Order: sequence, then structure tokens, then C-alpha cells
Amino acid sequence: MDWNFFLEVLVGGLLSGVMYSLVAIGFVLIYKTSGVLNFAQGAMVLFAALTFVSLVEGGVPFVAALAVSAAVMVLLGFAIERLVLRPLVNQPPITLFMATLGVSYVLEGGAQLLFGTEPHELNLGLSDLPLGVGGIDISSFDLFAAGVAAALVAALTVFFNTTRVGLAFRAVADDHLAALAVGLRLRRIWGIVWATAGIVALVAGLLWGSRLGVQFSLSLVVLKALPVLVLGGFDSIAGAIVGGLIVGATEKLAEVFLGPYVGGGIESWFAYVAALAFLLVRPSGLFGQKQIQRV
Amino acid sequence: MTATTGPDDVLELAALSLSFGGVRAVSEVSFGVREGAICAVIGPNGAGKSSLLNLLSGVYQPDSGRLRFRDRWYNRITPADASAIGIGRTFQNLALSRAMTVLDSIILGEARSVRATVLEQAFGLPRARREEDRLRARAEALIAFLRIQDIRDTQVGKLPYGLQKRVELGRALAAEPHLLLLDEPMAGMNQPEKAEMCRFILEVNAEFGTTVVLIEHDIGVVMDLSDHIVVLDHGEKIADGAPRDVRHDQRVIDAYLGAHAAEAA
Repeated sequence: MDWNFFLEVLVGGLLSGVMYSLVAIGFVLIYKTSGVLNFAQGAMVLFAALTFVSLVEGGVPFVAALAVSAAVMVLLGFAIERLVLRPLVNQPPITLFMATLGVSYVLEGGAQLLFGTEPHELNLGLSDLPLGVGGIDISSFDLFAAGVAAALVAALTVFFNTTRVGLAFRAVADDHLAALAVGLRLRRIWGIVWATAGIVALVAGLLWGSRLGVQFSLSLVVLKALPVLVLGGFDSIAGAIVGGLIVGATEKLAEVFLGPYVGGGIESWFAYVAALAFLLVRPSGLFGQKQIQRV
Repeated sequence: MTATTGPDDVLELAALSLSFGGVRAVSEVSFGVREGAICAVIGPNGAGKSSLLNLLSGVYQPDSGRLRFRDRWYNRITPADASAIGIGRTFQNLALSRAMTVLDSIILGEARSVRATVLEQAFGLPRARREEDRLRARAEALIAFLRIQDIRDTQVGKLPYGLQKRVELGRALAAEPHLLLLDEPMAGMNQPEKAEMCRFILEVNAEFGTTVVLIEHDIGVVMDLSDHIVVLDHGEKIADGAPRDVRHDQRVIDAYLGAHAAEAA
């Protein structure tokens, strides 16, 4: 076997996995702190990308468009928490999940009303030329995406671990009763979490949008985030990263090395099968908190 | 022998009631707690002690009745209100984040004192940094007070139960409460641990002037520790007064003996 070719596929897979991680992190933030599986994360990704693209096409300078889109996503996050989830607080998880499913359709429909239905091209001014590193070719765009993801994760980690708001996030995630007892305003914290998820959706939307074009199938990236979450655990940011890397790498390797034996097309379903197999062995994921129940 | 409420009371309950479905957990309970007192709430299992504490800390809302804390009357309070007006508490089954260190758990207790905004904190602006230094120093002082310096960086979940209880006390104290509610602070502790916890409660009461309302089963501890005892049975207050008076109250003796007789049968 050609060792360099293997490495190239592996690295390509890992880097594309980073893109999955970006979407998965948005899920984890909300799931960890409020126990809601936010199906609307994909619609938020789409909404963010569409907002940005429409602004840029309307002649707004790049940086200003970025700032405005970020502000829009923060407001959108607050609004979803305030208008949809707050009235439903203490409802069963399935109710909350259905509510976010509803939100995702409202967002997609709203985006179509506001921005129209045709696909847009999103050019971040990055070349997608292969870079030769140590004898293997790596996409410079993928490298940039990985760099952005790493910066985002680093920023979130610092925020979570060094600030009092971050400490409050962790407290809310670990024990609601403790958080209430010290007087944390859970609703305010949830608002901030949703706003943060909005920002994460913007970053994911820009990178995915420039890769796939900004179109409605962009909201389907949620489906790719699900196996990542199953592998990594729904409540761990580290898990979302590692899960994304595993999914990215295995699906590319499977496509290239197993594909020819089964007629190809493995990439689109391999992650789900891997997640299914993994679920049977370790239902809480690699990094997820094990549920210990005393009987 | 029912003690009346008076102007020195920092806390006053007026006919507080709470039902769960058809069960009256707390039934028209009224009493007052003097500023700076240590008040014990006792009673057989299921008497409504924890429910009462949950009403005082806003975890439950009363069906009827109201309560006064300092100079204001409240019909209902939320947990966030309770901590904002200076009511702190610990829980029977520990409400602590097991993954956090002792230091972080105590710092978390200071949440109500934080003034810097999210953005100031995220970017480490001067006000957030100054506040951080001040609150951190306060947390360290509290850790020294509770003599848990050597475990300050240990994860709470790895500590023995008695120490976790002490960390939870520290978390509650970090909010500098005016009134401290302790739900079975010595449950599951051995004798030396109990003695130590007693000493901390007395020290907190003496040094910070904190009024304490606690639930405890160990009658010996209750008699030594408290200035004032309220006895509940089936959600109703059956006695309220100084320890020596309550000890000889016939209804209290009946409630306890009755319960023991029923258990023995």
C-alpha cells in the first residue's frame, strides 16, 4: 500500500472531521447546560451563512458583515431561548426536542422569506490549493478551517475555565439545584449559552458555506453532527472534537480503501453505521458522562 | 407553650401551607426566628421539615401563608430571590458539582457578588480583574476558616462525605448569607465529624452573626447547639420554644414515643 496516499487520505479525513466538530460543538453547548438536544443548530448554521452572504452581496464590507451577522446570531439565540424554550421549561426532553425541530423549520422558512431561495456562493478569499507538507498534499482551506476551529475551541475553553460566567455554566451543567442555591439566574445563563451557540453556528456556517455553497442543504449538516455526538458524547466539547476527527477520518478511509470492494458511496453512510455499532458498546460516548443510577 | 413572634425576629412565618396532591406537607405553620439565633427544626420522618426549608429557600412556593425576612413580607420567593435577599442553604443530599474543585465550588457561591458583565469577564477588563482578585481572596479566607486548605484543588466528588458537607457549607457561606438554612448538616457523619460540624456552625453564628435554621435528627446535637427548637409532626407545628421547654412537652414526647412505638410494632 502507498503509505503517503494513506496519510493523505487520513489527514484529509481528519481535517474534514474538524468541520463536523464545529457543528457538534454548538449542540454540546446547549445540551450540556440545559439538556436540550437542539435540532435547530443546522438551521442556525444556514441562517448565519445566509445572513452573512446577503450582507456581503448587498455591498457591506467583509468585517462589517461579520460583525452584523454575529450580532444577528446573538439576538437570534436569545430570542429562541426567550420565546420558545423558556415557556417550555421543565417539560420532558422530547417536548423540548420537538420544539427545536419546529424552530428549525421556522428558521429555514424565515430565511427563505428574508433572503430568497437561490443558492449563493460564499468566497472567504481562501484558496483551496493543495499544500505539499512532508510529501503529502493537504488542502489549504481545510487547514484554515482547522485553525479556526482550534481557535474557537481554545477561546471557549478559556472562557469556560477562567471566567465566573464559565464557572456558572459548568455549575448549571453539573447540578441545577446547586446552581439555583447560589442564586444563579438559570434563564440568563441559558440565554448566554444560546447566544454562544449562535456564534458557533456563524463560524460553522461560513466555513461550510464556502465549502458547499450557501443553500438549503446546508442545514442538513446537523445530520452529520449526530454520529459525531454519539461517538464523543453529547455533553463533552472534547468529545465533539475527537468524535468529529474519528468520523471524518474513518469515512474517508472507508471510502477510499473499502469503497472499491462494495461499489463505492460508503462515505455518506459509514459514519452512521459506525455510530450505531458504537452505541451498542458505549451508549454514553467516549467522553460523555456515564449515567449512574442507584436502585 | 407556643412562642410568639416578636420584633427581634429576623424571620417570621405566617400560616405557611404546602400540599402535594392530597398530602399536607406543611400545614399553617407559624413561628419566628430571632436575629442571631440557632433554630433547630425537628420531627419524625415525613413531618415536613425539608418541605419547610424548601419553602424558606424558594425551592417550593407555598399554597397559602406568607413569610417575613428582615423588614419585608413575601408571598412567594424564587431560589434566586432567596439568595439575593441573603438566605443561603445546604441540601440534605448535597447539591455540589462533583467535577469542580473545592476552590471553584466556593467561588461559585460568590456568584451573587459578581458585578462585571459577561463581556468584561471574557476580555479580562480591569473591573472584572479587580473583582476577581477580591472575590478570590475572600474565597481563600473562607477556605482557611473551614480548614480545608489542603484539599482546595481536589475535585469535590473525590472527597469523603463529611468533607463534601463542609465544602457545601463553604459554598453557602461564600454568599455571605444573613440567614443560613442547613438541611441535616450532620447526616451520615460519625461522632468526631459531627462535633467538628457543630463547631463550625457555632463559629459561623458567633463570628458572622449569621442566623441559622437547621434540621437535625440527633437530639443530643440539637439540644447542645440550638437556642430555639421548632417541632413538626404531620406537617403541623406541635411545639416551639427553648430546648429545655420543648424537651418536656407532652405532645413532643408523644410524637417521638408514638413513632418509636409504631416502629417497634
